[in-house]
Amino acid sequence: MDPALDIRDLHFRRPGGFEIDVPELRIAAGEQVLLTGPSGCGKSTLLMLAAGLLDLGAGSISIAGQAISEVRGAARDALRADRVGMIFQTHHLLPGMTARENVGAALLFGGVPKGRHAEIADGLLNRLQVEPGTRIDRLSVGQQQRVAIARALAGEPSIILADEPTAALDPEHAANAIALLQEICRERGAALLLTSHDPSLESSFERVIRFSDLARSEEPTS
Amino acid sequence: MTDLRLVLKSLTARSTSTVVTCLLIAIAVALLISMLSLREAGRRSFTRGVGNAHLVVSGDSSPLVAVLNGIFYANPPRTPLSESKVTEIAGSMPWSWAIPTQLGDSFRGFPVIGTTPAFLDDFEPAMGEPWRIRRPGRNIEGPFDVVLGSRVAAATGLGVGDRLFLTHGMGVDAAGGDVGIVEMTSANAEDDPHDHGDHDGHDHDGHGHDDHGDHDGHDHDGHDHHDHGDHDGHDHHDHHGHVHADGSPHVHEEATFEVVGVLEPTGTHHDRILVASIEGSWFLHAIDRWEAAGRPLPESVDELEAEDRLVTGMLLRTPVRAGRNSSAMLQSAFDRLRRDPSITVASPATQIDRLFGIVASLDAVFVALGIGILVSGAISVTLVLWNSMELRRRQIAVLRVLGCTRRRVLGLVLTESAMIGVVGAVLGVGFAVVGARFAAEVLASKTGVVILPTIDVDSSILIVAGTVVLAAVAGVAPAVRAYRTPVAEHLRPLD
Repeated sequence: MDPALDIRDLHFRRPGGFEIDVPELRIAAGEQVLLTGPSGCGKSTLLMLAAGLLDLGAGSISIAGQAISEVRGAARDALRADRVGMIFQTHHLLPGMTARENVGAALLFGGVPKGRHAEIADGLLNRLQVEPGTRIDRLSVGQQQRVAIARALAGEPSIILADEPTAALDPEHAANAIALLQEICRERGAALLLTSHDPSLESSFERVIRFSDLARSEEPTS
Repeated sequence: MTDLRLVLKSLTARSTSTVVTCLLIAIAVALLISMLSLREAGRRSFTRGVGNAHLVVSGDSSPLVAVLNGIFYANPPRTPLSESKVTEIAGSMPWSWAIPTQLGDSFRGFPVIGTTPAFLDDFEPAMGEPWRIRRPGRNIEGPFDVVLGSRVAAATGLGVGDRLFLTHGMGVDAAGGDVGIVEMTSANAEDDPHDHGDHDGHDHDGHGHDDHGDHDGHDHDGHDHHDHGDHDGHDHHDHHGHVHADGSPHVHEEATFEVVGVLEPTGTHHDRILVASIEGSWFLHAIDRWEAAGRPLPESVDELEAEDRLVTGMLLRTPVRAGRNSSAMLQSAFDRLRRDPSITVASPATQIDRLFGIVASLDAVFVALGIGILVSGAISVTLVLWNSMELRRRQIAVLRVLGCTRRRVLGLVLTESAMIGVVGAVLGVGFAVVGARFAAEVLASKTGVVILPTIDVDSSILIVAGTVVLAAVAGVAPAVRAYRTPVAEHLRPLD
């Protein structure tokens, strides 16, 4: 089976001069990986690159065997819609809409038939114990984060890229949310790459990578 | 969850600016549609109001004025034609009909046309739609008969059997007072000096419409029309000489006209006229002329002289084959009449075209105004969306993360702006329908120009489609901005 994420000889240089080099990172299908490192070290940028939201300078990135770094435009967007789920520190849900509509929005751009959207959304939300018909602004922060998790999983992605997903939660809620995320990823067969600067999460993951071990990042020299 | 729902949500999230922008566009669309519709309807109304007259002859200085005065009762023509000239013209060609018209009197602001019974028999106020007289009622016969247009009857409440005085001159309405309506006591009380003192103001205050019920009794008094002419004429001699000298409109109480018929509505400006016998009209004018000359007043129409028997115009129709309105004779008739320097001859159809040619430039100003407002509406769409992009970049970034293509983002924003156009345009059509109806009503009651408030469907569709396209174009710049939204930068934590 193809690895969920396969990065080789990645080189990226941001217009400001910030550079990242990742010689190799491979995450097997269904594997759960914690990527730790201080804020601003480049963890988020690496996730954006993996999701095809930034263009590589050199190297290659494959998601479930498909080279996201080789395709562009609509093809890359379609690959992301089908294979990648993303979760952020702030939930980035669509305001004014219900939990069901937010999860449904993730299915709008993938290959899932329209008739199944509500069913998939409701199934995930019920599993995560959020009332599907409730408007986002009426939910607690914890519930909103669970809607974000449901949205990331709706398209049955090969990998979930979670960027500091618990930073907005208090420690107890954070631990619960991580446990839930890991559990549901296992249930759905999705790999998980989660970034955090919180060392207390390390015990929950079978594989922990320090960003500084994985990659070489450089501030502009001038 | 659909794209449309995303768009609608985005619109309703900014409800105030959405509503204001839609309204701005709606106003522009309404203005444009109203202008175009009213212009067309106005033109139709004028063309229709010409009826079946082929030519108008008068002593006016220009053909356009001749038509406006002769057919649209704008003003009484200043230079009259003699009866002999009328006879000459009437006999000059084998006319289908030739009808003399005498304008210059009015009744409570409504124009009175002194004419022959042929006016109601032969002239059609709208092509193919002859006059119809309500039952019971009849055409004018005697010199003091009058038939009321439907609007006159509706406005005054007068009906068959009622009696009235006509006013010499136009445009007197005495603030809605009962000018010229015969009130029993004053009509017969020639020995009451106070009553006559009121005439300058034309104000028979206190004689409400309720009084008219009395007229039935009046009818059986045994007065015939000549009786009124007789006794009133003599006794008001001095008074009317004075009033006429200052040229102001004045009520002629010397002659009482009797309503013998009321016309059915024609949907033209002709509904605002009173059709009186031309002899009665001559009689009123003779009183003024004889008075000024210091002569005793005429007692009946039989005494009138050639100088009194003047008309202000003629309506003419050339023979046509059944079911047609054009005639081979028309051009030669027109050319022949034009050779007579003492008269002005005009083809109403040609003059209406000329008039609308003149008005067209004014129309263009309004249309330009509408387009200007529409463009500013479109600019406002651009501004509103552009500014909203600033707030929505994060949302767009989220959609991109979910797999939405750039092109689809572009489409979403363009759909949004086009939708503002759709809502605005549809609202605008609604405003135009209501507004045109209102404008038509005001126009009809103020000027008698009857226009049918029909919205021109073809141009409306064109305007609506154009508006939607314009609104969509207005969304291009914001959509491109959305298209270019760099995703990664807008997904950073809020802190």
